[in-house]
This record gives sequence, C-alpha cells and structure tokens, in this order.
Amino acid sequence: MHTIYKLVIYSSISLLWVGSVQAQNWTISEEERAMKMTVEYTEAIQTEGKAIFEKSCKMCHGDLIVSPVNDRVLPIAPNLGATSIQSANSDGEFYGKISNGKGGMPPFKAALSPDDLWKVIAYLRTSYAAYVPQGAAAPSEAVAIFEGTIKSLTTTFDTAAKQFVVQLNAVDLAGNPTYAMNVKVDLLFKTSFGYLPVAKGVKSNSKGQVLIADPNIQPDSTGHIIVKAQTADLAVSEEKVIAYGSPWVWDSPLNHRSLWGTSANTPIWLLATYLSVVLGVWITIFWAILQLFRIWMLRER
Amino acid sequence: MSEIKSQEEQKVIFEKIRKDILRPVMSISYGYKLWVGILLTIIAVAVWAYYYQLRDGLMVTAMRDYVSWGMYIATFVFFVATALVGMLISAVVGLLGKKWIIPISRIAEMIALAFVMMAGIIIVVDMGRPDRLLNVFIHGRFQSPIFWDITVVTTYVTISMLLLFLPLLPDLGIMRNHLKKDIPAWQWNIYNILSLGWVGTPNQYKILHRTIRVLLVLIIPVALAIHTVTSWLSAATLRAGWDSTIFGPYYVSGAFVAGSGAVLIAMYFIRKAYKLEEYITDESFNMMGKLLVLVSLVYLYFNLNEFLVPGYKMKTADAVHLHTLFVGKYAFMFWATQIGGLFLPIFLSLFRKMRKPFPMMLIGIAVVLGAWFKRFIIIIPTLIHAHLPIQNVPQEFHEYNPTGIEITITIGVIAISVLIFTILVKLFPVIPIWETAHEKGVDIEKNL
Repeated sequence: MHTIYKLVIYSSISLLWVGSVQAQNWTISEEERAMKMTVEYTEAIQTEGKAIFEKSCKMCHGDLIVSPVNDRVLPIAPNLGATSIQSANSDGEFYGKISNGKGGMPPFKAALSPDDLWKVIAYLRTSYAAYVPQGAAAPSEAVAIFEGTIKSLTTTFDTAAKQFVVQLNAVDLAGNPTYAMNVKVDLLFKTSFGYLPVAKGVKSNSKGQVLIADPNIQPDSTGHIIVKAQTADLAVSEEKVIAYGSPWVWDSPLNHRSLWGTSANTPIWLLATYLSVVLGVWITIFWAILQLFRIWMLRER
Repeated sequence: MSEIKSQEEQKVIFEKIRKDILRPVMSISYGYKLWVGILLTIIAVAVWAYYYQLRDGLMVTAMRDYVSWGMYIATFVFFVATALVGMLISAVVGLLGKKWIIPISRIAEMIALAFVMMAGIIIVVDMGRPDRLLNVFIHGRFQSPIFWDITVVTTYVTISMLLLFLPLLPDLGIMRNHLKKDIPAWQWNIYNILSLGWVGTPNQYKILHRTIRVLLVLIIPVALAIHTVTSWLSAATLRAGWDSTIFGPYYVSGAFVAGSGAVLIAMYFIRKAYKLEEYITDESFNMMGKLLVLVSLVYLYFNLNEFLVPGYKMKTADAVHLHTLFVGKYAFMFWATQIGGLFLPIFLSLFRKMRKPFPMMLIGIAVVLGAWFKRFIIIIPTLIHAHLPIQNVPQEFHEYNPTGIEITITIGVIAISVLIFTILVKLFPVIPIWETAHEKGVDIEKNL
C-alpha cells in the first residue's frame, strides 16, 4: 500500500481515538464523590504526594502550574494546576477520577493505595489557593503560610559562606514589600543536557532568603554557571548566569606527553627506550658493515 | 672436525664438496627454467590485478569498514612469521653448537630474507594510496606499534642480509677462484666484487667469525621484537580475540612452527633438484622433524592458553568470537588448521618412520598451509564483530570473502618471495662450502 494512504488511515484512526477519549464520561460512584480526605493536609504529606505525582502522573500531566484555565490540549494531559480544574472538582471527585481513569488516563485503583491517592490529591491542592481542607485534612499544626505574592527571585553565590542565596522579593496582600517566609524554592543549574537540581523545596527564612549549601558544581571556562531558581509551585522563576568558583580550565591530556598523544608529545621514557635500542642495534649493524670493509682491506693486492 | 688428514686427502675431499655444491651454480636445468617461468606468469597476472587495485582503489578487495585488515595483513603476519626461522636455525640452534644445521642454515637465511622483504611489500599492497607511503615516515608516531614494526622489519631485513652475506664470503672467494672458466663473465664479476677480495687469511677468518657471532646474538632480540611487535599491532587493542597478554609469545612460537615447515619444504626440493643427498641427509630431516615437534609443542601450549582461558570465562565479546571459531562460520577453517596444521604434524613427527625426507616435506606443506590459514583466522573473525556496532550497516560489512583480485595479488606476492628464494639458491651455493669442508677435516685456511 502507498505510504501516503497508510499515513491518512493511521492519522484518522488516532484522531478518532482522541475524539472518543474526550467523548467518554468519568465513571465516579456516589460513594467516591462523597469521600473526604483521609490524610492530613500537612506539608509532609504534600511532599510525599509530590513524589508519587512525579513518579506516576507527571509523565502525562507535566508540572503543576497555577493558571486560570487549562492551557494544554490533548494528547497532552491537562494541567492539573489550572484553577478551573481545581475549583470544578471536589476531593472525592479527584479520588474517583484517579481511581477509575478514563480513555487515555489509566485507572490507578490497583497501582496506588487509597492513602497514596489521597497524598497525591493533597499535593494537587497545593496549587489551589482557595482550597479549604476537609475531613482529616484539617491541619493540626499551624504553619505560617505566606499569603502575599512573590514578585521575583534573585540568586547570588556567597563565596565566603560557600552557599547560594535566593532572595525572594515579595509584596503582602496590601501590596507593600515584605519578607516572604516559608516559601518553598527549588534551585537548579543548567548542564549541556538540561537542568540538574541543586536543592528542591527549601523554605525561605524570616528574611525571605533561601540558603543552599554549595554542592560543588563544575563552572565553565570563565568561572560561571547558569542557575535557575523557582518557587516550588513554579509560579515565579529566574534563570541567571552567576560567578561561581574559579574558571575551569580544560587541561587536555593531548597537551601532555602521553601514549595517545601526537609524535611531538611522545613520553620521554618511550622516546629514550626507542632511540637507545634502535641506536644500539644500528651501531652494531654499522660495526658489522665496517668489518666487511676491514676484510676487504686485507685482500691480496 | 675429524682426525687430521694428509694434504692430499684434504684436497680430494675439498674438490668433491666444491664440485657437488657448485654444480647447480654452473648450469641452469630445464626444470628450473620451467619453475621460474611459472612464478613469473603468476607474478605477471598479479601485477595485472594490482593495476586494477591501483586504478579503482581498495574497493576491488572485499575489505570494508569492519574488516579493514584482510588477506594482505594475514599474509604479512605469515611472512614475518616464516622469516623468523632464519633466526631460529642460525642463531638459536647454531649458537647451541649443533652441527646438523650447517647444511641448512643458509637455506633458512635465504627463506628469512625473501619472506621478510615481501612482508614489507605486502604492506604497501594493502595501502589504498601507496603514493602516500612517505607519510608513514613523516607523520609516524613513536608511540605507535606500527612505527615500531616498520623499525624492526627494516632492521631485521638488514641483519638477515648481513647474516646471509657474511658466511657467503669464503664461498664467494672459492667461486671467484675456481669458476672463472665455467660461468659467464658477468656472473664471475658479481662473485669477484661480492667476495671483497676474500683470501681466507687467518685475520680475515678472525674478523668474519667474530662479526657473525655478534650478529647471531643480535638477531635473537631483533627477531623476537619483530614478531612480538607484529602481535602488538593486534594485541594493543581491546578487541575480542586480540586483547591477549600472551599474543607476543603466541606469535613467536607460531612463527617457529611456520618457519620450520617452510625449511622442510625447501630442503626437500633443493636436495632433489641439486642432488645433494650426501649433504642434506636423512639425518637432517630427522633432526628438523624433532625440532618441528619441539616448537609445535610450545605453540600448542600457547594455543591452549589462548583459547581455554577466555573460553572458560566466556566474557560476552569473547564468547561471540569463540563461537564463531569453534562452531560458527569459521569452524571448518579453524579446526582444519588446528588439526591439520598442528595436532597431526606433532603426532606424525613423533614417529621415526615419518621423519624421512618425503613425509617431512608433506608435513611441512601442511604446516605452512596451516600457518597461513591460522593468520587468516587470527585477523579476520575478530574484525567481523565490530567493536562499536553501528546500526543499519550494509550486509557486506558483516562478512569478508576475499575477491579474485585480492587472492591473485596475494598469491603473486607469495610468488615473488618464492622467486627471490629461487634466484638466491641458484646464484649462491645453498650449502656453505667452507663450513662443510671444515667439518670434514679440511684445513680451509690453506686449501683455497
């Protein structure tokens, strides 16, 4: 069959499939819809939920990013940080949807325990400011949650203290500058193939600063690295080139004498061995040729 | 030396030896002309084939990205191996004071010279751009085993020439003195010049003996180096089948086997053609047979190490390689080589009845054929399994079936080495006259 026909047929089939996925309805039982969170809505639980989310959900849903409405289209799974999704679903509805799945979304009933499911939901709710914890979720410990807005972050490297300092610039609800405390920040640095985390979810102190110990990164040849600081909810981020440590000089082994170098970089021991052996042997050979000459000198004249 | 003989007796003995050994130098038989004709025909065909290779490049061979060392390099290793016999016979056995090697030492040296010269030539044949040969020297790296190989091969050629030429001096003197009427003037002139005015004074003999002795000692490390370095060309890589610490001695011991086989063949045909039964005696074959068993047993020991140790561990790549050899594509060639070229020759040569000229010649042919195929088996199967497999490579990369042009050129180069040997045995006495006479009680310093 012609390739072009194949392509047309395959793409129609996949379009049909996507359409059918969208057309399906969620199957949520009434009991599920009425369920309340059975885990506490605490930071520890949210962190556990985040780990499960990153393992089982992120591959399709991506990062949770706070936005008014879902900004992704199929086949990319919706952004669960969208306020529209968060407000439209009760905890129980989230539970039912994750448990039973729909179309491309697999059912997680068998894969995750009820507690794990609730932990994921607890994490999902962190991106919904208007969320009111219910059931067991009501926090037992009083955590001061920063209520203002983070405007920006600035990363610097404190050479003397050997630590990264991420300064949060925030305003309170009234719009006045303030120190953002207890805000979780991730710090990553850029490598050739993407970002590597230096620290994740470190909380800011009372001065609105996040202090992260020096992890000993290899700087580039000018002594700089590219770091990316972001709030844990990914609302604000900043990527920046900062001076870090002394410049890294690529000391190519080919600039030294080595077995794999060029002829000009022959190791001395090798050169000495080679030359002395070859010289020794050839001196002996020339000596033998000289003997031929001596024999010739002794001929009968 | 036997008991002191009278002047008259000595003269008679010397006369006979001289006539016997020099007879082939004075005349050219029909058989010899035919043999040279055959060799020249083969060489002419090979030159024609080489013209195509030169015109169209190495694409006319079966060598591709994976197997970039084919028949030529296998033959190169074979040449170097066989050439080592010069050192084994003249130096090792000779310095041990064994008298039975006197009649065959020059044959061994001639084989060594002819083969090692062609070892250099076949490397040039293997080059896609022989016009860039000079670059090998200009851009050679002291760290590269290839550079060392060029050094040792050149050195070995020079020492082999000297070791062939020096013991020839007294014989050249004899020929100059006695052959003036029997040979064309140009030929006599050659002998006259080459003899360097040899008159056989005690002083000349003294210098000669000392120089030969020094060179015999010198050639042992050089010969060991030439084949060890040749083995390093492969062994200095990480490839399965080559990545072996015993490759040096494995090659050297294999070389002694190949060389002994070649000497046995040459001994048989020279003795037959030149009617030298009195000099190259049955005892010579007997002793060569024993020597062949000895070196073959050493080689067998290294073979055992080379295959049993990786075979016991079966590292992934080694396992693939060994399967190819033992039961895979190269199984027939491998077992035929190991059995026909090693086990059987050892076993048969153990019997005194087999250590006669004719059977020893047949064993020699089996050994030499086995030696050539063994080099093929060492070089090619390893290369077929790519070190870094690439996806979607053409099928032709995965196999190596030498093309007709390749085979023709290879046979042609072997023919050149045989031709050089053939010319050498015609131009010069194949048996040292003076040493033979000395052994039979002739005072060679007087009887020139």
